[in-house]
Amino acid sequence: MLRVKAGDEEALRELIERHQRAVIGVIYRAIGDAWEAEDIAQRVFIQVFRSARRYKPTAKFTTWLYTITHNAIRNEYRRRSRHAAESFEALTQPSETGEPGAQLADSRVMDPSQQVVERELQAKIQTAIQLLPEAQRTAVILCRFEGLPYEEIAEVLDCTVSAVKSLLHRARETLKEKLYGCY
Amino acid sequence: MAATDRNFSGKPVLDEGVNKMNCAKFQNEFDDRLDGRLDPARALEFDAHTAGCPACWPAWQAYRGMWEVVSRQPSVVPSFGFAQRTLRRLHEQAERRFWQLPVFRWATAMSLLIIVGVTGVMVCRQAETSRRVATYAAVQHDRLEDFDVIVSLDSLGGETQL
Ligand SMILES: [Zn+2]
Repeated sequence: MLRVKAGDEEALRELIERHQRAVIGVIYRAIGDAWEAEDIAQRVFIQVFRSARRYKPTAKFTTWLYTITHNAIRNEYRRRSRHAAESFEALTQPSETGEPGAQLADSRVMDPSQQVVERELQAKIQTAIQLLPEAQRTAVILCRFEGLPYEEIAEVLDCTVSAVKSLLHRARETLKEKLYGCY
Repeated sequence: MAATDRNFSGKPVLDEGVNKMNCAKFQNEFDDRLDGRLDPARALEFDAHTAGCPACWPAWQAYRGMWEVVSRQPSVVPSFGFAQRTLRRLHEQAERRFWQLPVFRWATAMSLLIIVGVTGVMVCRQAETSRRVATYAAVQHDRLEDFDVIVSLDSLGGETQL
């Protein structure tokens, strides 16, 4: 990161390659569109490069990166809510057209009917997560998929550790209700 | 299943009020247990209680099951050349921003102003020069005509006395 701070583009490339999967993954889980996830992820990395001078080495880099990512997702949701043309459906329904990069867990070992069931389940999970309030959604994604400790999530969301605990609890209660019958 | 078996296997059954309080305590720890935030001793206690409690066991199973299901949300892999495209976009934006800097906007405006000014001055000068040349030419023409007259008069020689 210090090299990126000094304007070294090769260092930025290495940094992107190291973190692209996590950043794109977080955005994809939050918005459910692989193309858009990449587009937003690009903006995140450009923002990292531009804000590098403001980065303090005392802060953990991934925390800072996830904070920028969280803000980018929040902006995307705001942008979408401003554009009335984009229906609520488009916002919450994950595409089923097999976006590039979308990866189905263990789809190779499933027969077609199982795959249909799995796709339906995944769509349901995706919708349930996307419909969570902003902070709860980020807390769930960072906790469940990125394995971040509460302390780091608290820094990303700029709140206390007990607030993170409360966010996760409320999110889990909602998910339990929304995914009833799936577990 | 195991819950009732264990209760019948000689485990002391607590007073219902105490048990309920105990259950609430463990149920409040569902999140901590899921996220690995209980210390090992407490985690063992938690597991022992939930496994043997007819109230906590189904609630814990549902909670844990839901969290397991959530993990089945599909992941995504970055498309080939993502880093390269990001760097290209960074360059394009940097170029655009460079030309959009206020200093460049001012510089462009000032350049246009200077070009217009210089052109105006040059046009005026050109017109002035043309006018002067025309005047000079006219004057010279008159002089030449006068000269011609004088020469003509001279050619008459001494025959003519002015
Ligand atoms: Zn209990």
